[in-house]
Amino acid sequence: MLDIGTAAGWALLCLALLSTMSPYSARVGSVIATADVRSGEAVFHYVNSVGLVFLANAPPDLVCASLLGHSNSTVALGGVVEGVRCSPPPTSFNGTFSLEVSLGGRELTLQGWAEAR
Amino acid sequence: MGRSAIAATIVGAVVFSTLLLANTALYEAQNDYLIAVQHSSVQVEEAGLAPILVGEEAFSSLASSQTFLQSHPMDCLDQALYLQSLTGTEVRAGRDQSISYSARASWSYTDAISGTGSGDPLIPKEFDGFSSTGLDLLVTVSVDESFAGGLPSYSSQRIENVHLPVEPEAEAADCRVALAYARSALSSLPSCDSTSVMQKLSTGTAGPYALTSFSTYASATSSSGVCVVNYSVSSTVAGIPGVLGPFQWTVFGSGSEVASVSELPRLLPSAP
Repeated sequence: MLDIGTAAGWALLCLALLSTMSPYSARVGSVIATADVRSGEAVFHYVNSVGLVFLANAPPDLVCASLLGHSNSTVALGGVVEGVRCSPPPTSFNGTFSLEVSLGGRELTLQGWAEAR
Repeated sequence: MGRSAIAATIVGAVVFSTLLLANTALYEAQNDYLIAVQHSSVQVEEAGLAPILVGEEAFSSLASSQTFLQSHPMDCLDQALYLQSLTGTEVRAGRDQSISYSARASWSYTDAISGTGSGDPLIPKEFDGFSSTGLDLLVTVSVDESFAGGLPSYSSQRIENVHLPVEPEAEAADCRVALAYARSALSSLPSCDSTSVMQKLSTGTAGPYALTSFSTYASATSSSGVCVVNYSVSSTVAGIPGVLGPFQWTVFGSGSEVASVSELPRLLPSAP
């Protein structure tokens, strides 16, 4: 009777450890990290494409339009230009990246949201 | 019955122990993979952020220089001192995602291309690199980044040439020509008064091209029998392309000259 109790306790302990040490959570974490990188790369690519003079001088709505123009089906770009938010984040995304840029007194926050591939 | 129960208990314990060991191995492997992915993700983000920080500093040096030029006219007789005052330092620190960064920049006017100087991909071509005729700046930027204060970290130093499309040497030379011409024109006056000065200057505008692009101002004062002429020339160039939009820049020069006066002394009426 005591053996059965010990074995049952051991089994319960094993089940508890199995549920807490789930490999699935680590896999989800790596998917998010990869999506974060894709978001960051999209933001960096955008800045390199338009250049800093454009970001410093263009009207906020033009910056927002260019962010939208650089978005695609898997990566959405947005941001805040002089307090004006371009577009809300997509409803579903896995990774995100945010970059603060200060140019000649103008503050911009450029954001990217990526879905997992 | 008793032996069967013990055997089943042992088998159960072995099965659960094996499951636990297998899961732990898989968990550790996935965890190592996650750490590797996060590590490389941060490295990619740090490497992407560094050129943007350098670009921001290059932009900042151009913006500061543009603001200085717009608010400070250049004395063409003191051009070297003026250009030497185009210098600055800046420290930028912050945090993007979990990456802490600091960028320390120093910049100054240069009249020679640096051995390691190069352009910045984030700066448009009209301001990028060294220009043999423009107003050149040498920008040195040191960037340090780290992930949550630790590894992976990233450090780099870049030395870049950027420029504004103004021509300080040529403008100063034109200004000095205009000053020399004004000095020459005002060295002799028919009389020591504003009418003579204006007359001389109006004939002067038909002189060298440099003087026609400069506005000239002068005044004559007679003191102790000496005619002193103070004169100045200035030229304002508007619509110069700058990183903060078009701007204007003024170049000026001034001097004074003792003019020779050719009029005869006016005779006082004789007493009746």
